[in-house]
Amino acid sequence: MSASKQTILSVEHLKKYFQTASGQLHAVDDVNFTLAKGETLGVVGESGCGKSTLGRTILRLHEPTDGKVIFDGKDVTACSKQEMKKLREDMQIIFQDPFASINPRMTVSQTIAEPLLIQGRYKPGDKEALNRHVRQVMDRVGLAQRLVNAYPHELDGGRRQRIGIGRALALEPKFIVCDEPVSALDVSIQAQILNLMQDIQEEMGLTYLFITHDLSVVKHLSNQIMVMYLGQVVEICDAKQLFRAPVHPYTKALLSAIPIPDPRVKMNKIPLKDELSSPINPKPGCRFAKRCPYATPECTAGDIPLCEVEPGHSVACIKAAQFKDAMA
Amino acid sequence: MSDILKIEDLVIQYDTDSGCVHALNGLSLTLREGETLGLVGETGAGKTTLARSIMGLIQCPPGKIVSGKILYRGEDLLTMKEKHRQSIRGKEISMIFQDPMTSLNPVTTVGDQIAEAVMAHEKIGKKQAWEKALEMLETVGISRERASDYPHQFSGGMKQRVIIAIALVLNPKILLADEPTTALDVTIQVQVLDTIQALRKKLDMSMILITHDLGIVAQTCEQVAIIYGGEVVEYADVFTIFENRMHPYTQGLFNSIPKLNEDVNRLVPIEGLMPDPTNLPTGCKFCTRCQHATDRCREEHPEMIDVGNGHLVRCFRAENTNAGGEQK
Repeated sequence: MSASKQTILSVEHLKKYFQTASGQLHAVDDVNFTLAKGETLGVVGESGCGKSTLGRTILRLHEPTDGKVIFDGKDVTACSKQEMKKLREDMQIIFQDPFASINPRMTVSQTIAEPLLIQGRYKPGDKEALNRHVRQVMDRVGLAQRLVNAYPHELDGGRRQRIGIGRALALEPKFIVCDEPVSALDVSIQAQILNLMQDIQEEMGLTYLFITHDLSVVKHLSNQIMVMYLGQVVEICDAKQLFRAPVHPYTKALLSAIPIPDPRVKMNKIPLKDELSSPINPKPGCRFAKRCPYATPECTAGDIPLCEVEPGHSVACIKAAQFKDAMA
Repeated sequence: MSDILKIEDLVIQYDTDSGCVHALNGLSLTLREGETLGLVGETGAGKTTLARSIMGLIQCPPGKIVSGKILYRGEDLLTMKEKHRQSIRGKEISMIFQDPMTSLNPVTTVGDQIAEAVMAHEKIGKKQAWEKALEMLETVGISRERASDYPHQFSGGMKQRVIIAIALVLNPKILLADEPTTALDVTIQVQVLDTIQALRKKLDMSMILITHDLGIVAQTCEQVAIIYGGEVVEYADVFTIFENRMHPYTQGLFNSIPKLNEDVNRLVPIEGLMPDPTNLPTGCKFCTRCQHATDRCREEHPEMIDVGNGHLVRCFRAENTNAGGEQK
């Protein structure tokens, strides 16, 4: 990321542990990154790697265990409740499941109006101005005006997700955490929603943290991509670079596992043994070592820091330099 | 290759409070011996209804098989005696369901669940059935020591392997796989698909693979049927579908997905929504979303047109393109 771009979000040593019956679950473990205004950071990883927890912890929907989140110059983690409420005008979230994240007893207009009323943008008496604002938002996200009084159950998944996007946009935020916003949708609808999100980003200069497990979606939308494995970042770099020359063995295996939509191209799969190990009381060292085809005893001897292998491309692997050279 | 399964003009409807749902509308399809047929379509296209009707799992009421035939080796499954059909279900034709989390019995060990399938169809003792279950577990890559474990002790990928073991323990001739990896992460998806493919070859099975992932289709299927509004709109071998698709819906579907091997700035979605299955258009089912639709498309229902080499297209526009065969 070049220095000329304005940093809007910086996350420093962010940790979120959950106390469970069988020990401490390290959902997010020492994550660091910065995000420039108007850009999109894609966060990828498999179920249970902590990507959703990361998004929620940044917004303080989960209280962080340790670390800092600096948004627009303010330390989010140190904000009081009052300050936090004010800050939420600028930081919003779009949830994964459009069926579960919208109140079934509220109409489309009530759902979109709610954040505006909570933040006191309109006085309760000022119905006309409020309705005008809601209608504008509905227009913006492609919801027909006739649906103003419709309830969520009357609408399909794509339209419901448009309500979720409208609700997040109503306050004109600067930053939105998008937590798998299209994974519950059919492909033809998914493309409509992705295009909508791209359009509003350009129009409003939004910054996205885009969480997904779908690598083709993330490549399509992101400037930078961060790959997570069991709560830690294993690789972060420019989106195109990641697909061109991944360095971390996990990233390589992940990319090799995506079925290529071309029957003439045979996939060069890198098989992985077993499945994710448990994030509860993790052992020191590389968390991927157990499944890694290149693992040696040194990999589990101590914690592996994220190191830069080239400008803007960091990898958490002790053999990163070696892998990088092998590709050159 | 001879036809092992032939579906002719299948019409299935569901009676619901909000009207009659037209799930399948004269669907015809052929599966040849040893072949993998990919069934692609979006939510509500009728994919799962089709699979369930082949298995004889359509609940009547509300379901109703209005007309049509499902011929397995020339015998109509729909008219045969229930007892005869039961001997085919699970033994000759078997199914893997979409959600591994809910398709296993939580209070029975996985070994017993596999053995149960054996004992339902073969006259063998409990001990032999258990032995067979252990062998099958190993075949799908689970160690036999785990046979006495319960489903909750397995991860999602392992559960799906158990389901595959149950489906394949009797060496069926046809396997229906309904989105077998949709609930799994990509690295696990590769393992599960490889297991299915290896067993399919080893046991010389034919397979119908239901999916919406065009990558999986490209990598595993030989023939592809695209389904929309309860009928097949395009049918061809996998290379033709990927390189020379003709139906506007198929084309739209391909344009909607972000591709890893191409850089596109903007996706081209299919405008509009899936038609309401209680109120389908009279003419072509896709006419409401098709940019080429004419008055004829809205009034007249197009038949399948053979454009040569077994490539079938349900679109009037195909009439002018190199009529390789007579209209079906």
